Amino acid sequence: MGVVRSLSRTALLILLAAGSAAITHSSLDYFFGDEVAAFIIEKLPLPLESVWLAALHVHVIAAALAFPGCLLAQSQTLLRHFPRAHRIIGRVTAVIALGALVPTGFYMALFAKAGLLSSLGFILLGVLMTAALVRGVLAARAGEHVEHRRMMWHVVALMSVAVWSRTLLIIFDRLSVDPDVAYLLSLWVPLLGGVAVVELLFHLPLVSRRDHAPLPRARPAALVVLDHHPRRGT
Amino acid sequence: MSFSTITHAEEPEALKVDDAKAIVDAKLVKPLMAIESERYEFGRGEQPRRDFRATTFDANVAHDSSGAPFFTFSTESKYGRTWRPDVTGCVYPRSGKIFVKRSKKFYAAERMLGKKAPEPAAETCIPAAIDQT
Repeated sequence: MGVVRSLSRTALLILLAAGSAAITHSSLDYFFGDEVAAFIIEKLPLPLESVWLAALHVHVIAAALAFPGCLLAQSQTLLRHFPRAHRIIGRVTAVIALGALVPTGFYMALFAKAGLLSSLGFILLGVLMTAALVRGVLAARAGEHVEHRRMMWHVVALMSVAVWSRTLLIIFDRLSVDPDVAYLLSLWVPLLGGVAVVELLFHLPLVSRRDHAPLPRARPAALVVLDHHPRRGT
Repeated sequence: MSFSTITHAEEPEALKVDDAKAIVDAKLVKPLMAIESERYEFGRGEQPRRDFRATTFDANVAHDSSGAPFFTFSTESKYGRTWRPDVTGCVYPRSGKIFVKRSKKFYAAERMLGKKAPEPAAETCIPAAIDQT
């Protein structure tokens, strides 16, 4: 059962990493090329086009760094063998997300397609991500490892809305669903669904005790030396 | 869309709606579909159009305040299996210029094709007051 869970988790992280790479690849049109990308054209007219474009550029770069960083920080291998790297990646990711990804997301949410419900969805996404990141960081500093892990999985779920929503948009298009309805469903279903799934996983006995085991903590060098002293424990 | 038609006694040549249709087809419909067919689906924006067509050409020629004649038209786009209304616009058969309307404002159709284009003149696509003389 543990193997199945471990493989499922790895498969999910690889799938999301592939989705993140696909999003970054498709976003290159925003930076390069002589032509204006279709996503920008459909937003016109914008009250402050240059500000919106700047926000889009910062948002795309921040997402291209934060999402893979967030997925990498979920690696059990990294955590067990390179806990310091885990902490550095986590901190950098949190700074990028809180300093660039979320603020630009808030601004662009004001001009989201499909109106108020869509804007509210993106704003809620940013609020939940901020709350999960702040709570997660505080939990890690307090040594509350289960809570830290729960919050970080919430961050993964919230960032993965970018992947699921794009996937759903393609599916809804195939089914000829009205574009505005499709846009709203593609946003709200993964947003609320992700929150629900993470809470279920952490409240139902589906997660093994090993998964809830404390994280390795950074130890002073002196203690590490004592650990390896031949007379230790005698 | 319904615009008033102005009678211009000194129209040098008869303007045909078929000419306007041909311009829209060549300069908007075909280039747009060429772009859409290559567009990446995995994005947050609208899905690529499966098809695009100009519909409902106003058979009567209108004139803006500078006296330039133009025809108005509507478009439809196919998403999935469904045709949905898309932008409206106008075409100036003499110059071959096309403009499309988004949120009460007209833009050069080149913008719809992802190209940069200057803002159109204020009178673009706006019929002048009716002249019944």
